Parts: sequence; structure tokens; C-alpha cells
Amino acid sequence: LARGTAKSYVGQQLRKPTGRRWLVGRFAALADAPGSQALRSFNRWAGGGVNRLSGWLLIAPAIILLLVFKVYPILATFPESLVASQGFGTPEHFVGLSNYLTLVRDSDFWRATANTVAFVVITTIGVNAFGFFLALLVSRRRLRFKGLFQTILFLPVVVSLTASAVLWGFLMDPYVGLVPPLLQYLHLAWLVPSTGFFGTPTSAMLTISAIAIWQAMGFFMVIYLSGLQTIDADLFDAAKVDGANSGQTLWRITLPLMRPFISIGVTLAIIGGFGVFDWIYILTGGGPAHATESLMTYMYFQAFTQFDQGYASAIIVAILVLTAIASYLQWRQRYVGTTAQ
Amino acid sequence: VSRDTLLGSAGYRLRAIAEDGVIYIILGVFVVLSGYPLVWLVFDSLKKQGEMYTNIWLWPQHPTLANYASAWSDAGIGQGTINSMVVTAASVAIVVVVGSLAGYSLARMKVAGGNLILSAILLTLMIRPMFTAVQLFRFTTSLGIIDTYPALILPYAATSLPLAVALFTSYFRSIPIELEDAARVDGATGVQVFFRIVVPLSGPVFAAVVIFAFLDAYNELFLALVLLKDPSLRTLPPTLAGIIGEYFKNYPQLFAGVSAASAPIILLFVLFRRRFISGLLAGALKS
Repeated sequence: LARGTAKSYVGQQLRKPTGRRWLVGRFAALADAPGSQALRSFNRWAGGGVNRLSGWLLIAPAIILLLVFKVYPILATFPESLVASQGFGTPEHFVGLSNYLTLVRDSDFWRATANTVAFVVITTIGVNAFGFFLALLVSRRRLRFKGLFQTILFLPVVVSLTASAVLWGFLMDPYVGLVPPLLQYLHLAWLVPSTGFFGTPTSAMLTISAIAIWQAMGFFMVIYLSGLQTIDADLFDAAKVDGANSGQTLWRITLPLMRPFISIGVTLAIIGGFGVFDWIYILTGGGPAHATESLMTYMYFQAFTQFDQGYASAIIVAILVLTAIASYLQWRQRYVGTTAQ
Repeated sequence: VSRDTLLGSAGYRLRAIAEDGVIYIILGVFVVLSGYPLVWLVFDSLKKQGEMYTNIWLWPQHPTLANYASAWSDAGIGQGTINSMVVTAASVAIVVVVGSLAGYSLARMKVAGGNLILSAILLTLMIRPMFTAVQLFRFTTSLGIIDTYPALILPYAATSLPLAVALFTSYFRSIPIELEDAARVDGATGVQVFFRIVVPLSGPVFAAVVIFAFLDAYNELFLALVLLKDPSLRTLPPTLAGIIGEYFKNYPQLFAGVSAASAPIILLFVLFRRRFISGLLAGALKS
């Protein structure tokens, strides 16, 4: 025990990288080492908490990986958006802002932007409303089988977007799908568009939004569940004693306290929504005639079908700007919201 | 006890039961909505093509694995699974090793501007894989690694890395430093301290990182479409996206493909439900 105490004393000294005591501790540690001379010198070289070089060596792979595969590609997108090219590997020439001028007059781009914004608005409201609602239900104290409910409600989250697109594409198909006859059976036939769920661009976008909500709401439920756990149960008891009904409790206690989590949920849904690609690529391919294109599928089309990488880069820059604006608006609203309180 | 309070409490209890009933019904609807399509997918994947149209909703009368066999060999699901496993395993391994070393460095070693580096690393979370696709296509082509596994593995690793570094850093910081110092004084080298003390104490964060890195890589479609054009190298998501066109009429085979592709991840989820949810949640709240 005495040995151990002395050691941790030395250990404490080790943490202080300055002064004479540090040297003493350093030598004590080295003298104690059972290994060979090589081990000792490696110890001196890689001694954690002290050696700056080894710190840099350990973090270097992460920084290099991110610089090469994230930072460089995103920075190179900006100059790329100023060139015209006929395909990958062909000579390109500088055209200034020409790609952006084309972009502004490109009705397909604006259609894609409108579709994406609509998708973002619908799904952000949908996943947060359903997620919050489900979290309220699942977190009730009297509820049994909580784990089971949570597991099943979370299940669609782990399945790939590709799998859900294939599955729902079949289920909602006007000829072989199961949803149209089921809705008919439930006397809800009016929910089925006369040309099928993917028949018109509007109904296709709405259907894809619904699939997205189906798949993501479990994830948002979990976010709100973790939020509800941070609320002190005494608050609800106190409100009950004071005669508040459940609506008042929700409005006056739960919602205000959940503000930070709602803000996280909304931000995540917005960021996720702007990247919508998989469902549209599989279910409509952006067609007919680019009517159901999202910004991402349109970028894919320009870059990898038309091989116009300069134009595609301009679209990426536009997406970055749009995401930044959306995040800023959301942040400002949150800021105004908190100061107004 | 007066009659009024008796009636009152009975009324209250009745109301509570009714309320519970309504809640169970609502939850039941959502559970069916979330779970049944996936269960149904498995049912239909086990049916012969004819039975699909006669026995629409339920467990097949004559379940057969033939659809899985044909999806596995003819529709490329087998090759896709192998490719996905290689790409995912390599990417997860890189994220775990590189991420934990960087996290340890940021948590324990006095790297100048460590917090600034951490913020910069977290900022790269905003750079989604799709935004980098055009440039990745260009420089993997010029490096000659396009249409090889690394072309996909390295970008996937870079995608999951920022969050991994952040989670590792904050977790390692929460481990009492005295433990490491004591080991160091006992003569452990820096490497030994990391592997003998820090890693064994960090089970939860390693599990969380493995889970979200696995999901990131296993379910990704965009880069997989762009960076691996060779059909024999395709991972599962582009394989499934491709099947829809080719095998449009053979639905049971398509469903067998989808459920075979989803099975590993669902199995992982059901086995490690708590770890899974808390891992993904940590990611969401961190970002």
C-alpha cells in the first residue's frame, strides 16, 4: 500500500511538466521500468501528457484523413464551379461566373430547390411532431412494454434508405402495391391520388416525404425521450397538485423545458432534409422531366450523367449557401426566442 | 368515507383505465406502422411468386428459401454483401484506431491548440459525403484508385471520424488521470497505458463509435454509386438500387435481397439495442 501511495505521488508530479520535481518523478518512473533500454527510451519518447511530438503523431492520421477526404474536396469545389468541362478528364477552361448565371436561369434547378425546400419543411415538421408525440406516449410512467415499443418504433431507423425506398416503392405501387387496396378497404380511398402515389410530381414528393417521416420519426422520438428524462419528475407532480390538467402541463412545463431538444431536432431535420437523395433516386429518379428532382439528385444528374462537373460544383456551392441560410434563420429564431423570454 | 369520494375515486380510476387504453391503441397503430412493413417484407421474401398474390398479408403456407438463394447468386446480393462487409469493416477499423488515438492525444497530451483542433475537426461534420463526390471522383481517378475498395473506404472513414474523435476525447477526459499515472509509474509505456488502462475502461464509447461508423458505411448510397462503377465491387445499397430495374417482375426475389441486406444491421440492433440507441443519440446531441 505504501508503495502504491508513493507511486501515485510521483504520478502527480509527472503531470506537472515544469520544475525540478518533475525531473525527479521522471527519473523515478524510468528507474522503475522493468523493460529494456529500448523500452525506456520509447517510454521517454511516447510518455503521455508530457511529450508534444507524440501527441502530434497520434493526431496526425486523423487530420490528414480529414484534410484529404473532406477539406480539400470541399475547398476545390469553389474553383471548380468556375470552369466549363465536357467530362471528367477532359480539358477545362475558366469561364468565371458563367455556371452561376446559367444556374440562376435554370428552371430545373429552381424546381429542384423548391422540391427540396418543400421536403425540408414537411419532414422537419413531421419527424419532430411525431417524434415528440411518440416520446410523450412512450415515456408515460404507467406504460408497460416500454422497451418493446421503443425497439419496434426505432427499427426503421437502422434499415438503409435504399431498403425502405424499395419496400415502400412496392407497397405504394398503383398496380401491385398493398397500400392503395388497404386504404380502399378502410374507406380512405380519397387519400390515394387518382394517378397513384407517384403519378404526379406533387403526390410523388408528398409520398417520398411520408416515407422519410416513417423512417426517421423513431430517431427523433429517442432524441425527445432523452430530453424528457432531463425534466425533474417533481415538476409534474407539483403541477398536478396545483390542479393543472395535462394540456397545461404540456404547454407550460414540458414544452418550455424541451426547447433545447426541439432546437436540436429541428436543426438535424433541416440538415438531413437538404441532403435528400436516396429515396428520390430510387423511387422517381428525379423524373418525369426533372419534376421531382431534389438538389442532390439534380447535382448527381449534372455531375455523373451529363458529366458537367463545373455546373455540378456550382450546384454544390448553392446547396452550401442554402444550408447556411437555413441554419442561420433557425439559429436567429432560437436566439430571438430565448431573449424574448 | 363518504359516497361522493368513493364514486369520485372510482370515476378517476375508470378514466385512468380509459386513458391507458387509448394510449395503447395509438401506440399499437404506430408499432404496426413501423414494424409491420418490415415483417411483411420477410414474409413475402419466403413466398413462391404465385402465393404472393393469393396470401397477401400473412406468413407463407409453404415457406421457401429459394428466393434468397437466387437473390444471393443471381442478383448479386452475395457479392454485394461481401463487398459491403469488406468496405464497412475496413472503414470501422480505421475510424476506431485513428479516432481513438486522436482522441487520446486531444484528451491527454498537451498538443498546442488542442481545443481549436477539436473544433475544426467537428466543423468538418458539416461536409456531407455527397458534397465531396465530384472532387473525390476526380482525384481517385487521377490517383488510379477509383474502382478499388480504398476509394470508398477512406471517404467513409473520413465521414465517421469527426464524431468519433469528439466522443473519444470527451470520454477519455472523464477517466481519472490518476489511473494512467499510477500505471506509468509502475513502468508502463505510453502505448501500454493506452492499451491496458484506457481501452479496457472505454467499452461504451468504442461500442458507440463502432455502431455509428458501421451504419454510416453500410447504408451509404451516393458515394458507392459514384466511386465503384465495377459491378463486381458494388456494395449493397447500389446493388439493391440496381435490382429494381432488372428484376422488376420477380418481387419475392427482390424482397429476399432487401431483407438479406438489412438482416445484419437489424440483428446488430436487436442484440445491442441500448448501445445502439445511446450511440446514435450521443452522435446526434454532440453534433
